Amino acid sequence: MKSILLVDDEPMTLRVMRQALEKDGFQITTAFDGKDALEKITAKQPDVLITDIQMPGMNGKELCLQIQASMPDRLFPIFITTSLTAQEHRDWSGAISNLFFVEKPISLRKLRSVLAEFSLPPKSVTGGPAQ
Amino acid sequence: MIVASLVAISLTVATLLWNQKESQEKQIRAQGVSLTRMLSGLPYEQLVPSQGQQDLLNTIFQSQHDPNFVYAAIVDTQNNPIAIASAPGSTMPLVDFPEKPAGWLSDRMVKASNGDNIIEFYSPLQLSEDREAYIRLGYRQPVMGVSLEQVPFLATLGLIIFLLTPLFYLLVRKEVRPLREANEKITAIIESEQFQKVDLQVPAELTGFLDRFTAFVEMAKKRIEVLENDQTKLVTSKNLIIYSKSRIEAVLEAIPESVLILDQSGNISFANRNLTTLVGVPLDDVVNGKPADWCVNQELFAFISLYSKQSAASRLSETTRLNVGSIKPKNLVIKAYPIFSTTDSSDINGTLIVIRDVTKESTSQRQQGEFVAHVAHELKTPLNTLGLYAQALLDDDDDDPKTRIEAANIMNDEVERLAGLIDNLLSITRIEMGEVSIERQRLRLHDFLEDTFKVASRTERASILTFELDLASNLTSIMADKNLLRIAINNLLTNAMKYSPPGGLVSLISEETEQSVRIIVRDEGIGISEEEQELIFERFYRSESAVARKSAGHGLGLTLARDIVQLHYGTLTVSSQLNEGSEFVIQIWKETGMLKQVV
Repeated sequence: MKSILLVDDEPMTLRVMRQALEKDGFQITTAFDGKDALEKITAKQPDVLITDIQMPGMNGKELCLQIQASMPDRLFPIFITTSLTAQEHRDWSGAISNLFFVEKPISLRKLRSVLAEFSLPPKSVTGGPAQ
Repeated sequence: MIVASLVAISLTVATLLWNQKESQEKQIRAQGVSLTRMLSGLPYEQLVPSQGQQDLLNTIFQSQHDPNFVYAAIVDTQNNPIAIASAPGSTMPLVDFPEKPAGWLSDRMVKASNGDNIIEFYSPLQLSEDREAYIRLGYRQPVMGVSLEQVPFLATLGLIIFLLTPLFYLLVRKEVRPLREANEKITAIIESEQFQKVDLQVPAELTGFLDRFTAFVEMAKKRIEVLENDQTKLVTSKNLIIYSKSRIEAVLEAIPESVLILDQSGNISFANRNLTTLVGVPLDDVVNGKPADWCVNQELFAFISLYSKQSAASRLSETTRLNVGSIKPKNLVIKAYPIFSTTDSSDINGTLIVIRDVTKESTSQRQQGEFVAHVAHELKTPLNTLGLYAQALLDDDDDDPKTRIEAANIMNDEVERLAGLIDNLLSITRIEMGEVSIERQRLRLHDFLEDTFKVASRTERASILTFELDLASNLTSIMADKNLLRIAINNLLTNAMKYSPPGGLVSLISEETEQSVRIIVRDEGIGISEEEQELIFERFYRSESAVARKSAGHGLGLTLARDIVQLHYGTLTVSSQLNEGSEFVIQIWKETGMLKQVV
């Protein structure tokens, strides 16, 4: 069973996404901010990381930069949910491999289809950012 | 005067006596010379008579009747007297001739045995070849002295002088009086330090002089007047220049930009206070020093240096943007303008450098950008939840009623949240645009505060906090817009709860004085640093502190609260200690207090 770490400061969002993704057969862990997430990743790497970008404390951007710095050989993909477009995050996201943007409001259908590509054992992905 | 008379008398007498002695001596010499010459011409036999003959020498001596004629003698070569005639009581001094007696008539001074000075005339006699002899005639040298017969004459002379001196003195005094008076008057004028005409009654001889003197003084006076006039004009124009200079400087001080003026040689001739504040250097150092000494920022220094050079002075600069300072970063816009002469536009008097601090504007722009991003996030978050639940409902193959009810409830909450957020945004925009008309009504403050407090303390966050409500039951009524004031107090309470630790105490307290009411919201939360206390009321400002960032916010709550309080002519202030808590105080004037404020 593939594991997904969901990071969001909105409890309602976490709740409904956990319900939907658990139904799809993923094992879900949640974190409420970047710091919490980083602790959980250090303890056990997930197969997929889905994180919000705007969070109090450590936000999604800092979380990604810290992961990139502390585990450069990471293989799991990161999905970032954002109110903005991928264009506006180009500055800092360019250096991070295996990083994809999911625009808010999140379409579960789209998310599922992207995740389907990772239902096989993790491998290097060459595709561009998800729209 | 007596001394002067006596001196005059003495001098006169002495001169007379000296003159008398001189003339006597002259007379003696003339007489001596002629007599010696005459005697030396006589034959020796006549001069030295043989026995029974008349003694010529004695006869001549007797005939002279001169009291100063002391002796007449014929001597041989050994100076032995051959014949001698002398005054009674006098002897001829036995003084040798000089080694080689002169061959002709000569005279010399010899000393008599009684100490008198003798003028002696001597000459060889005409003799036969084997005989030699000399003639010597001695006269007593006259001395200065008063003889008895002279005393009456001298006394008369003395008396005349004695009487003439005071007369002379008085006459001189009389003559000098006008001069003395003129002198006194001029002295008085000098002492009074008031320039005035010298008016004098003077005798005819002095009139001409005094007229010219007065004319000269008048001329000097006119010249002084001209100089004084010039001086006044000079002072006036100097004052005018100082006035216009100070006015120009006042203008340069008043403008919000920092100003630096370089003169033709590129030296700094003026800097306003804004500039000294900007660069943090005393004015004197800026104006009297070189930019290299006080300008720390390299880019600013480079800019000033460039325009200090003659070649650059005539160019209008590009607007240059600089970011200076590492502790308190500043964004500056700097521009140089050539200062053209007002009379000749090809003549350049220097360069005006204007530096504008656009930090606030840049910050405001950046904050506005952040705000838009934040609003987008805030709007999209409930939308996201709504969308997710809608999709969950669509996908709900089991048709589980529990899931449907939960989804419906959450969707309802999110819609309310969205509406509240939009309301807040609209309120602040309208207030800041000045479009809000305040609807004042009499508000029973006690009931209003209690109600607002209850609503706020029913939220989810409130369940982990403790509350204190301290309101006087007889609290006054005020005229206020109920809905707006509720938003303000609610925002303060929400903040207090948001930044309080679990179990923290949140208080709402009222205080009433004769003129005003104070509504205090106090918490024991994270507190606000002193620097941030100035900033938290600014639109879009969100605390930099990580602790505060943990809580969601849009940087508008306090701005809105202060706007609302100000609409009620009140004040909203904060006092806070980091990690100890904050206290926000709304002070609203009661009607009496308001009147007093106006008066």
